[in-house]
Amino acid sequence: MEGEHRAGSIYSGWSVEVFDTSKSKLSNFLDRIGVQAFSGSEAFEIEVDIIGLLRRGKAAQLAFVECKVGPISLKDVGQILGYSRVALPVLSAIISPGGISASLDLLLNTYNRVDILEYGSGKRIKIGTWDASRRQVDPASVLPPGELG
Amino acid sequence: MKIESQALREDVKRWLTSRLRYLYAGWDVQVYETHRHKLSRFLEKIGLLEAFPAAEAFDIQVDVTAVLRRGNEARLAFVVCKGGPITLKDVGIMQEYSNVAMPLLSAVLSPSGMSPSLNTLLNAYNRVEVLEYGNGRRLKIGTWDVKRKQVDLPSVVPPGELS
Repeated sequence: MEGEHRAGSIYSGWSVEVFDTSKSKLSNFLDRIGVQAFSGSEAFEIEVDIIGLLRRGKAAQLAFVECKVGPISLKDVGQILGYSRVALPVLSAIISPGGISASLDLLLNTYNRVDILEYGSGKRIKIGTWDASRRQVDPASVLPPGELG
Repeated sequence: MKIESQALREDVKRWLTSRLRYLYAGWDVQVYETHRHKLSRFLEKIGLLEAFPAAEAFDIQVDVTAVLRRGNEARLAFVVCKGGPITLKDVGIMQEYSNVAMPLLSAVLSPSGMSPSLNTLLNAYNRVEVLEYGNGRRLKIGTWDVKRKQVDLPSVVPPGELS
């Protein structure tokens, strides 16, 4: 799986597992797999499509990917941003074969409002176009540029 | 006590008008139901697209929008009215809209209040920083009192911010 391969190469030394969680609340999911490493996780009313769980000793980290079918809108970004501000994943991305909506493109590229992607300290949501034929993110499409490179 | 969405928006619109006229005396306050409109189109329609940087990219839909004007200055206020309990998803979306358009006031209200998870997050874990947008501004969350047609003040998070 692309996500597992990618997380494994960036976080070598960590155990990396990636799950399809589109039908689960994160709080229930963490409870089910017996992970209690996240403060306040019983209040994680979070549903994202793919979750990466990275473990090294007692340390655990999360990664989120939301997959959209149509163009990614500001509303989609807001949803994953709220989730990311709460759970502070090491990586949070939203991807779609449809790329980003015209309004979001204008906001991020013309007006350079990449500040609206920030969550936590120095962390930013990554937005990208999914290349269905190559089964990976199109690196040239990624915003902020280079952040999924 | 159940209430239709349309009636809820009407009541919230009245409440917001009265509140903003009290808080921003000296400003011209107009409040609109905007649940069917993108904010970019709405601002264009009322001739205010130029008043807000990047307004043509405001892919924002909220239930009630207030426009405050004084001389050449213009400001916005947003309220979203939910039928069911307010969730973290609702908060995230409204927060992002607010990050983009920087309204003076931004609130999510529901007669059902907050979901148990959001309540735990904000009240038990005191994670009110998740409500921040812009420079020191915070989204307000509150229970709408259908009978009294106003926000139930003790329900508001952060506490006291809609008093």
